[in-house]
Amino acid sequence: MKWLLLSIILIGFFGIRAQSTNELKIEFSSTLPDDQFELDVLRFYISNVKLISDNTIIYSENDSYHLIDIIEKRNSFILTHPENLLFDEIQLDLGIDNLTNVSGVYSGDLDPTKGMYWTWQSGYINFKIEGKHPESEARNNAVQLHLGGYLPGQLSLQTLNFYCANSSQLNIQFDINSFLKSIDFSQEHTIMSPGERAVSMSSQIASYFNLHE
Amino acid sequence: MNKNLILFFVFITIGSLLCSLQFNTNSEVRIISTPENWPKPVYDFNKNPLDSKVIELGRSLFYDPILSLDNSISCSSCHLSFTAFTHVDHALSHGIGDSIGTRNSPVLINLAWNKHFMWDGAINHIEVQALAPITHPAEMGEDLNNVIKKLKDSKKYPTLFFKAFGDSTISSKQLLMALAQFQLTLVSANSKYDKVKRKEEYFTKQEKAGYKLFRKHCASCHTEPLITSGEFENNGLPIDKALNDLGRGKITQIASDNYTFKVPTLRNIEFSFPYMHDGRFKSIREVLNHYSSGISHTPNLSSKLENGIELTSNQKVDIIAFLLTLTDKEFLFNRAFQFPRDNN
Repeated sequence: MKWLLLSIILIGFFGIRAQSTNELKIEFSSTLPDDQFELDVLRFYISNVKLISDNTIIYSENDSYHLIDIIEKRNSFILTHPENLLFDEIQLDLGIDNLTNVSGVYSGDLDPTKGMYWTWQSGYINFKIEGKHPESEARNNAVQLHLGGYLPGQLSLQTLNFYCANSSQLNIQFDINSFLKSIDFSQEHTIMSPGERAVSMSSQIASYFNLHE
Repeated sequence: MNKNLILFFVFITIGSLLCSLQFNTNSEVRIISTPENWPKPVYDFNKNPLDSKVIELGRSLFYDPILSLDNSISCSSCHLSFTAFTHVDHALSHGIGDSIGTRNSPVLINLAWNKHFMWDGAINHIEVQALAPITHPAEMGEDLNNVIKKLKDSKKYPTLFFKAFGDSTISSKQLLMALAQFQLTLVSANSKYDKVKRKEEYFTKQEKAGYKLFRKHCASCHTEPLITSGEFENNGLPIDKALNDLGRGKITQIASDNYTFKVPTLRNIEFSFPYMHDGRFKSIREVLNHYSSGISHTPNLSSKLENGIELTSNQKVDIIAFLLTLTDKEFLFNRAFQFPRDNN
């Protein structure tokens, strides 16, 4: 009888422990670009997701790499964190960190077949937008912005921080419309390699991500 | 007479059986170890230990033109085992459809000790190196997804991938790991130079004189024991205006890196001609003449070469005698590195 009781207590304890996690769905969306811009590709990496409370990191996701593809609707992931975690802020990297960039080949979302890895020069493309804009002077009015770079002076990784209420779902929106309006496509229609232009374009893009209430 | 003929064939058969046994034992002991007095490898073998089945798969892939768009070019087209895994007699290497690249294919020697890959260090890790030649339009011109598809559709690769990784799905990570593992086994550490260092052999008088000159004039960049520092230097080559190759500077976009290229190892230099990133020199003598009287004061010239290297023609002969001691015949003619007949 004693053993039975103990077993029930133990099972109950571990049962509760096993369930004592919470899920946070993080979804990405985009505003609709105006009619002038014909959007073909909008794809980016989100990595190193962290939950923060009172300016202290209370949870960091392991193997935190997510390829988000807005057009293909692979635009969300679920963060499984311990229960009773009260966070008031979320931090995410837009892009792939330096260490991962120099550590060889990976699979999953980091697989080089995903089209987000440069082949002629090692390194991930953090953010990719492709489409057509009548003002672009490139062939077929193409717009191709492939933003990445991890070497000193070429670092294009951006860190996004959003204050948020403790919840089970967050929607982060890329305001592509405002971003497109801020670009002079006659000048800036093609970036295909790391460098100063990629760095400045990356920080500009980061400013158009918002937490969508 | 007939008896003799039969005996002759019996001997031949026994001989070839013995030979094949010999080679089989060779292929079992290819997992590399760090030679004595060498630095620790740059590659992290603890994280990704070598596996003989993966190496064998990598070897098959290395020799297979299936990796190129029109199935005409394999890695070995430009990296031949007999010539220290470079493209002998080609200043600039060529790829599919007779397209010519802009660089001389580098030797593949002791890659586990390499910090940077390619002449300009564009590639930062051996596991992702093969992506560059596979997809480069002037090399293999293929799409990575299409390579995977061709491998999946082939007769032999699903089995070889299964043997190597325990599943036959074939991923790009597995493909790249296999190519990396085979290339990591390409260790050259048994030249006469190495044997002298291990006190198993002696330099001739001339080789010894050449070694002394080498240490004085060359070894600050071609550092022992790898015979390269692995760093980037401008060695004063007049700029080829047609190519205007910025080298490392194109990658880092730092002006002080312009016209610098990775210092190559001189191991097996006897067989790796032509020399320099663009293959402009056909002989070692031409290379030494460049250092003694051909230095061009281009931007970012290595400070060690400000005044060139003063060498008499006798001294050049001595240095060449030393450089030939860097030839490693066991490496060059190692059957474990050659075309895998058993898998084809």
